Amino acid sequence: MPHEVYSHAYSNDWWGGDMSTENRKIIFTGPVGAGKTTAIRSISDIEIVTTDEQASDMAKARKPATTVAMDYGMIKLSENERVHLYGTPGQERFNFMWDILTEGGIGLVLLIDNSRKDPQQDLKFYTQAFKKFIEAQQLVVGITRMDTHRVPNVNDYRQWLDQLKIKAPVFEIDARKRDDVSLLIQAMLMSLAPGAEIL
Amino acid sequence: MIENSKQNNPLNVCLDDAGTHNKAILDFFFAKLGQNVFRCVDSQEKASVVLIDYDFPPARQKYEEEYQQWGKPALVLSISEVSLENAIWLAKPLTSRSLLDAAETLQKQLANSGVEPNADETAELYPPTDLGLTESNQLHPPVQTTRQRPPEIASLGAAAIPLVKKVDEDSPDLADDEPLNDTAVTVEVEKEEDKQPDLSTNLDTETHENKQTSAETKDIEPTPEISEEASKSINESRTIMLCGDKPDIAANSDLKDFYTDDSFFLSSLKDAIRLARQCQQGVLLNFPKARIYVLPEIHRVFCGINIYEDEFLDLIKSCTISEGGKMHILSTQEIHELNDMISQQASALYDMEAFVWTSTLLSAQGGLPRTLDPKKVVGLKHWPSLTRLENFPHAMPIAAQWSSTSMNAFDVAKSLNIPQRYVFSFYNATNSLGLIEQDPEKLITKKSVPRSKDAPRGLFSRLLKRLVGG
Repeated sequence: MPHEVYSHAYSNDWWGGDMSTENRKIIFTGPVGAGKTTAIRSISDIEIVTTDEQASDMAKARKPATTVAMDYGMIKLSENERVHLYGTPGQERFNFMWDILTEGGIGLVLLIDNSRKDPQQDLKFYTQAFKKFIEAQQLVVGITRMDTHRVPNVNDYRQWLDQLKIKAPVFEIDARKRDDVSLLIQAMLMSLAPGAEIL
Repeated sequence: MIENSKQNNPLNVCLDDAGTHNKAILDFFFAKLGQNVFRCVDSQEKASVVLIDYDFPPARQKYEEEYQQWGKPALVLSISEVSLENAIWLAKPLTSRSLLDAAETLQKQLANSGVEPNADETAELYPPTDLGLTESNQLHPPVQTTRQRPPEIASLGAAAIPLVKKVDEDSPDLADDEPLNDTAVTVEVEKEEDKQPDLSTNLDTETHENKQTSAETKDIEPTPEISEEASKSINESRTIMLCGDKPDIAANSDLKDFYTDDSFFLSSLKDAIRLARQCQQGVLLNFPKARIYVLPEIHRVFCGINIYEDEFLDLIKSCTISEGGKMHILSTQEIHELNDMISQQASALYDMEAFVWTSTLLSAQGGLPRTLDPKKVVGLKHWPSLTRLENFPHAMPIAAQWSSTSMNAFDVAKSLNIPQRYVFSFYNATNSLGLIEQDPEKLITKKSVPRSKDAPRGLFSRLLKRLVGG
């Protein structure tokens, strides 16, 4: 099978890959406290790299520390195949990072915290912010904290996505559970390549 | 099938002064749940009860200038509390429960006064000239009944269900959360683990609603030899229970072997859910072996029988039209009883979609109801939330395939090279959840820009293998 190098721009870049290494990126985004760092930790083969700082603004109300640059984890498929997992900072003032992080990504995992004041607005905001990327790649939506906040329900999110003319799997997840995060990413991959076999 | 033990004489009401929005709601209510309780008449004179929207100035003016003097009892709709003589305040938005409760109060009141609530001559019993308020008040003592405005946080009828044990009323567990949105329902499902801030500890919070067999949970690690074998065996038998073991058939052959009769249990369940959603009230579905509570506002179903055990299949198979299947909106007392039951058995509270999904699969076991044609091209509107539904082989590839391309069930099985029974099971279960679009033209197509490269299927396949545990 010919080697597929998705983006030369980062195939030999700062994480130390070389030209013979196939690197892919999956991006995790969503509001502060939605579980991005936790989700990456659940699925990563390596100890994740975080850039948490003590929260100093509104994020402080939700958690003591928050991601300010990015989170990084990795799934290592072989010596030459790696899937890099990037978590965007949740706070909007770091949104200049988002375009940089999504460059060359294969899909977007949007985590929405169902306990927040207006999850529909969050969904709108992030799908709008990543509009181009979503159109080019694949979005999957994971709803967190549904165990304690049952409303809105998954069906509400489906309707909201319909209104936004976006087609994407929506799953209720617990970011702490590897199985949940894994299913979300599986849905992303299978949406990108329906019928893909599990080798 | 709605149980209606209180078939009193209906109350005559006129909706002319109810306002357009309320009229639409009430028309709907009168046509269904309220059909034995209320009857529409074409003028307030003929009504036994004056019904007005007190927030609508012309209606309010009419009431104050004219109707009030008739001495008829009144149902006063308003968003803020209204305290009027001989009137019952109904808070907007209206709920079926508050309407039924109000009707019950009025019927008692009219019965005590010897008035037939549905008699057309009712107006004559309350002629404007006849009414001195004093006399009228003797007939109808000041009611002063008010209904509390239902909390915007949805409640299950008159009494809110805390749903499982109240944690500690003095210390709400919301300290680290932003205020809830207006319509949010907080369900403090009792899972102590969820309250632990340490997000790094995981995998131990799964309740049995979260699918599958307990052997699959990661915190249980029996000896590998036994667990692998036992787990495999359990999974295989469960898969057969869910999807059957019928062999494939040719698309042009007789499908009668794949068609199953509608399960009475499933059709009753769907009716109960429909009713519960329409009236946004909890509904009790009564079978001899089990009582099933449908709770639409929190999207849950309470069932004392574990749906992942054989006993639940027995329940489904044993339900017949002659034995139960009656349903009704929960009374206040039943809500309190339910609350107690939930406190004692929180694990019996299932996600509604998970409950319908598993019930559908067990009812059909790989077959299809006659309403579904496997040769018809259909599309998947939305993915089912597979993290919270009972899994069976190939569910995810089927979802991906059907979501990307509209096709018939036979072609899905063929394109994925998988047994048809899994596709039929998926088709049936997703259809029960309302996720199938029979008219593919109506499906939303993804706005997309051409990808610079095709998906790297080899890498995806290897990544999938890793994710599924290979």
